[in-house]
Amino acid sequence: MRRMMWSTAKRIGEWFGGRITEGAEARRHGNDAFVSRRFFHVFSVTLWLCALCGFLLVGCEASDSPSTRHGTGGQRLVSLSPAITQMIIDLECGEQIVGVGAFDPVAPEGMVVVGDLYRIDYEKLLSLKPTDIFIQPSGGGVPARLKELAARNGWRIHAYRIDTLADVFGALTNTNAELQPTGDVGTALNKRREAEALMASIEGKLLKISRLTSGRARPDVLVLVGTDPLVAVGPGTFLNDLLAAVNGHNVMSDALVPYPGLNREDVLAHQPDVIIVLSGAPPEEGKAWEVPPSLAGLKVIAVVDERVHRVAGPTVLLPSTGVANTAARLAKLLHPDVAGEIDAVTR
Amino acid sequence: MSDVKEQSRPVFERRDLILIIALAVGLLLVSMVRLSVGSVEGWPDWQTIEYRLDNVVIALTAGAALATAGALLQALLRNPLASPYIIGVSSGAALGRVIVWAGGLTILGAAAAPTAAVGGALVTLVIIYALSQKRGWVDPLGLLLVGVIVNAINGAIIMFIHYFDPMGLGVELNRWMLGYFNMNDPRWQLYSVAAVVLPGVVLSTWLGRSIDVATFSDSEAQALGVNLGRLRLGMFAVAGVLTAAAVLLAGPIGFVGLICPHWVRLVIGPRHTPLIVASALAGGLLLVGGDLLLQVTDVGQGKMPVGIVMALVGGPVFLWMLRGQLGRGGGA
Repeated sequence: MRRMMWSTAKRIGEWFGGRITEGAEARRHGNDAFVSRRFFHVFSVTLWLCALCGFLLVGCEASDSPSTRHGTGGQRLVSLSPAITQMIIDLECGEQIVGVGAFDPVAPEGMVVVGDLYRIDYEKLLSLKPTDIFIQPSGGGVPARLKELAARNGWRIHAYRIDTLADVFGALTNTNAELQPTGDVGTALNKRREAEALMASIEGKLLKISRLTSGRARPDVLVLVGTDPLVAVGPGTFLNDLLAAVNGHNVMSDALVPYPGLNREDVLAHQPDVIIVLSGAPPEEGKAWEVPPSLAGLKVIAVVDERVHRVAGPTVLLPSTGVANTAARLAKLLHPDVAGEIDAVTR
Repeated sequence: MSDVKEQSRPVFERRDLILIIALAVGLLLVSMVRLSVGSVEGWPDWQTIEYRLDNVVIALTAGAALATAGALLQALLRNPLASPYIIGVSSGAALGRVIVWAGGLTILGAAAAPTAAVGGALVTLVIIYALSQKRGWVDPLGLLLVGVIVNAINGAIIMFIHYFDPMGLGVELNRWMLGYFNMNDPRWQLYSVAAVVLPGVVLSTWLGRSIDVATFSDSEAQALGVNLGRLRLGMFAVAGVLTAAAVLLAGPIGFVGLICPHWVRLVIGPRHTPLIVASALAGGLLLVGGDLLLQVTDVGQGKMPVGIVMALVGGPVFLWMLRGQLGRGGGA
């Protein structure tokens, strides 16, 4: 074995253009040797140490105990998704939240921020000793390190992909294991009945708004979530579903991606009757909103008819329990003649 | 005559050893301080220390890998401006990682990201090598130019994938490209990458004297018995693997691979055995120190990416170093 390693090291040295020497040969060559026996020893010891570390680590990973389930009482919740934070608050479990993600517009004030899904502050997470972690993973899925720590500390991870309106309802109450492998939010919080009631209430409001707006002229609508550059709402999004529910036609419904980028020429080509700019920022009081420069002066129906509107608020862009209110605000802008009745529905 | 003198010099002179020991002690001290500083105040529990230790290992490994790769590439290209970031090796590894993020190579499971990063770095190196060599001999200036263009192409492909954003990874990708220590990957992956970097640095040190000879003219190097073609190919491969490892751990971070070998060369001279050891230690020290700096600064949006700190600190330092060299009309 030793002979084989020596021979391999010698060959590697020679292959790279150096010379490797041993015993009497070393003394003969003296400092002419580019690769000394000492280096061979360092190299082989390093390799053995690396292999040993690798085996130890694999062994440690394998010996990690499986997660232990916590009871639902006295839960300590961490939500890395603003949409799920809102669901938790609406299910009256807000006081159990001990940590939230960054940029969470609905998080209770003074809450500990544990980073976001892309850069979780695991130190803070460990210090919070959570029992349940709610996340809305992107394409990369649940981070492997989070899974590791959850397994070691007995945390339960609840992961939801929430893109469409159906996903919102699924996250709230769907216990189908195939659709929601980690269970729904209602069940996770032991508030299954309340979650069903909340979902029924949202569905009922949406149905009423849909009935009030159906049978009327269906305007072509461009919904923007960014104005510089222009970014629109496309298919496969809850906002696209809400627009359909309030009898509006999304001019970007045939786009290839959920949130397509646009230029002024694209807006001209689609000639929307109404343009709605959505913003997660709170509305500025006492200051009139102006049409953004990227839309100003465009010869499109919406701009000429002064039907460019802004819908702002912290929950507007969240695929969560506030969707009925967002739908109502959209419906009032598209069908102002029934605004009073719509107000009555959401009141 | 000078060759005879060169041969009779010990591998490590007193000045080299002093610098290496100083860097090692500095690294140890900074690492200890980093273990005691973090997001949570007060005495940390064992799991928190373990987490901080992982952070130190990532910083140390990524810094050592980048600095060693930089030293190898600067010797290989006989150009002190060469670095993994500048000639496109980092962007090649980043492209591989981004392809996995966008849903490619899922069949490889947990090994997809490391495989793709190493693949991206090596494919980039092979392309650069193939385009810049003529009958087996590489023109260092041509190689540098090809590297810069390949770097631009890799960046364009990353932007193309970003534009289509098939998995909604826009934010994640943006942040990663800024150079964050990747704490989301599993621990076994982190330590596997570290286990690859250590032999890479040792191998590079082992080749130090051959690399010294390779920096002479090609005919002189061959007369001294060094097979330049093989040595360059080997150095390319080691530099590619080291860069891929660093990109996997911390995203594409600039300046570490450029500044550390430069600085060390200014202090102890150009002999590669001590240069590589000291550069690796300096790279580790720079990134662990940068991470420590991030822990004690709060810019209001959480911890800043280490890539930004390296660019903010490394850029001016490099200009200062370059200014001195330009004044003398020579490279470092």
